[in-house]
Amino acid sequence: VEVERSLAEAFVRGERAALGELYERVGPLTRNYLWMLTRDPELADDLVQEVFCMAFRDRQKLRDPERVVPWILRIARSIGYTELRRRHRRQEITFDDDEESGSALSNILADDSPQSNPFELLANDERGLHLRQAMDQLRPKERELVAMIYFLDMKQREAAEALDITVGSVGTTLRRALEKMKAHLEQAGLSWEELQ
Amino acid sequence: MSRDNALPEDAGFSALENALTRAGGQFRQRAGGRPLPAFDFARLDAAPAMEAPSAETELPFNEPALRGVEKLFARAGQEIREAAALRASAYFRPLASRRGAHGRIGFRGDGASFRQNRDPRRREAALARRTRTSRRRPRSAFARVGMGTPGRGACFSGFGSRVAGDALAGIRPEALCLAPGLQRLGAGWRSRCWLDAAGGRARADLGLSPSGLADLGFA
Repeated sequence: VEVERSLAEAFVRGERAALGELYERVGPLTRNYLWMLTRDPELADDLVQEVFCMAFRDRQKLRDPERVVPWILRIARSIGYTELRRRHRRQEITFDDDEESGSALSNILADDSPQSNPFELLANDERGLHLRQAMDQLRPKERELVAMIYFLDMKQREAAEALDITVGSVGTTLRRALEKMKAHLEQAGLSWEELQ
Repeated sequence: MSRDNALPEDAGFSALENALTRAGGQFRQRAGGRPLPAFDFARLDAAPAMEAPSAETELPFNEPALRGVEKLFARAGQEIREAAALRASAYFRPLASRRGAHGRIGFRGDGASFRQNRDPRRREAALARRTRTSRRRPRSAFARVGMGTPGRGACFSGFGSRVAGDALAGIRPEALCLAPGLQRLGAGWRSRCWLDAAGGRARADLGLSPSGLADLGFA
């Protein structure tokens, strides 16, 4: 998603029209990210509004207007995780303790139940099921990164900015994730022709 | 893959990437079919309920005058700690010298032994011994600091606490509780309401207005 500097600057100045336009441009990506994170499209629709409200209130904190998209995604990530934690407290979902901030995502993404789960697309046949299981083997950050790159079609640079890590780290993490998935699929005895 | 990472040229990776790309495309297609709700500007005008509390709102001292009082207490706290440390070092001796007449460490807590000595010289000696042989240590003395009811003074009891009490004499109870650093010695912070009230009361007691604080260089 590309946003012109002039639009971002108008947003920082507090122009509501700019906020509306920014929402139109970046809102779908933000909503999909939240959908992926929470596995609940309706909740994502609600949270995306909150993300833009918070972004508008905190607009003075945006240092570089050209980086408005990853900045908004970072807000979305924060709000998404807050919501997951809140839900965790409410529903007492079991979380991994050995992972830092990614524990919520780990469990949410590994959960099979919700029909709205975007990852069900991986599991509509045996081949997809293996792929899904391979994804579940990943560490939360790896899984989030794979989802950002392949499901949200983000570039590595964009993912790096949204996750606040270096591009080099994204490349390394992604590669490690795919190697893990590949090893899992090989162990499952799935041939590459079948996967194709 | 259009991304700029360098994955090995491998049939397995290609197949994996293709499968993920295909699933991602399906997801985006489905998400694209779900319209994004219009932005609700009315929500923007509502109170910022989700805004994270800032350090400013977290602090009980959320106005310049109270921050001035805090500085005042910080200074008082430093003086208290220094005075208390000085007195404590004078009163307390190493363990080896704290053996009483019966070979026990410490002394009878009720002070009976030196009260029973009617001879002034012996009483004086007992008192001196008592000060040397107290089993209370500075930590236990300070542990009682700040345990008092707000406005009614801190509770001091026992010999060790008296050491602290000497050091803290003349200091307002609010100051005892508010002085930063004292809580590390056992003077726990009370509830924010309590602190806020104590800070406000202390400011009133000290007769300090916000401008007065500014004049003193605290605000």
